[in-house]
Amino acid sequence: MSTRRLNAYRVKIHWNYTARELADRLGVHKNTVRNWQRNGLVPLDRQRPLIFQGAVVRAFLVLWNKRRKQPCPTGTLYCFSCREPRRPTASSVEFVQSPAGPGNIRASCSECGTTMYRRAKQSDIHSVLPGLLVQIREASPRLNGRPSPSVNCDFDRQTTA
Amino acid sequence: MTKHNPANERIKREYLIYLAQAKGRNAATIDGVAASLASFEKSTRCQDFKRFHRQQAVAFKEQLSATLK
Repeated sequence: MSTRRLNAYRVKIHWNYTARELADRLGVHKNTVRNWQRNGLVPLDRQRPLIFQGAVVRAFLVLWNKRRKQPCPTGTLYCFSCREPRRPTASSVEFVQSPAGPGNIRASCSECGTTMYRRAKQSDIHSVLPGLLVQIREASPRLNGRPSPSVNCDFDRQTTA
Repeated sequence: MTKHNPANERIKREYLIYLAQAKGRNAATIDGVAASLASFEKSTRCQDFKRFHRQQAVAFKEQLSATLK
């Protein structure tokens, strides 16, 4: 499966495409189209060369793209290691408030321990993660908001060189 | 699944390739032709182009003028 999401609307609905033409149109390999065919993309008929209707291809790709989306259910965050929405470890949940707008919920995955993140408003925390104790933390200040300047300065290195 | 006639689809495909390659028509022009052919097919309920009768064209024109009004 391709890692990027294909734009289904590049396929014209009134056109018919061979596998090669469809592959060129969408910027994928011809075998990817054959793979879609194995996964439910229906050709016009069984006559060679196989032709795919644009409208059918577009409807298929819209469903294909939608299938790859996994909205996190209530009480879960998306774990990039497990590649699934997972419940967090109860003691690890904390909310980091951004200076403006919503903040990040940060928690450890209950399965593999990876740090997971989910964007949420502070007022929505209890609807996103009901029944969990969430520690509220302030975000670290921005560089220009700090009273002392950053010590990681390469000014000295430039003058000595 | 949308209703279609496979024989018509192959004829349309040949014609659109002819417009693009032999006549050198712009992609936008060909899109317009393809859309018009689709609307004609809809009016004949995807009947085979080989069974074309002039009365189909007359009915299609009347239908178009009715929608414009």
